Amino acid sequence: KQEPTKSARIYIGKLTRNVTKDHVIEIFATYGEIKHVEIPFDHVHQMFNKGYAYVEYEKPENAELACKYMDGGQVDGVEIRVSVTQPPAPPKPRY
Amino acid sequence: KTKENKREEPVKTFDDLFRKTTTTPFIYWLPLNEEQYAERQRENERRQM
Repeated sequence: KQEPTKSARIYIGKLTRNVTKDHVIEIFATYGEIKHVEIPFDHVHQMFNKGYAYVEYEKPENAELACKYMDGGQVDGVEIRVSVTQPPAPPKPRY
Repeated sequence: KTKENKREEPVKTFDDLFRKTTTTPFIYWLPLNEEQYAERQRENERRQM
């Protein structure tokens, strides 16, 4: 399989309810500069997250590092999942 | 006897074993080390065979 553009975005799964956006930023900034963080909240229970988050780094290398060390790593006593998200489809040629 | 006690390795606490966030309420976290990463890689390869 070929990877046309490497994604700098990671999916973080199996987060506990104690984890906040600030936690995610602090922990994952260890692996590089973060551009954007998304941590969806439960509609019914607004104080709880949905157990996952997306982090976008400045560089794809950082996303790979985070994946390497944190997939299977622990946060708040639970083994979490981290994977690089699928890169967006390559742009179609203009001619 | 006290000297011997001092030479013994200090008891490992939670703070030595895990990393703690400065963000409150603080939580503990722990990344994989190189060894664990290599182990996971091997495990994945084995599963794919």
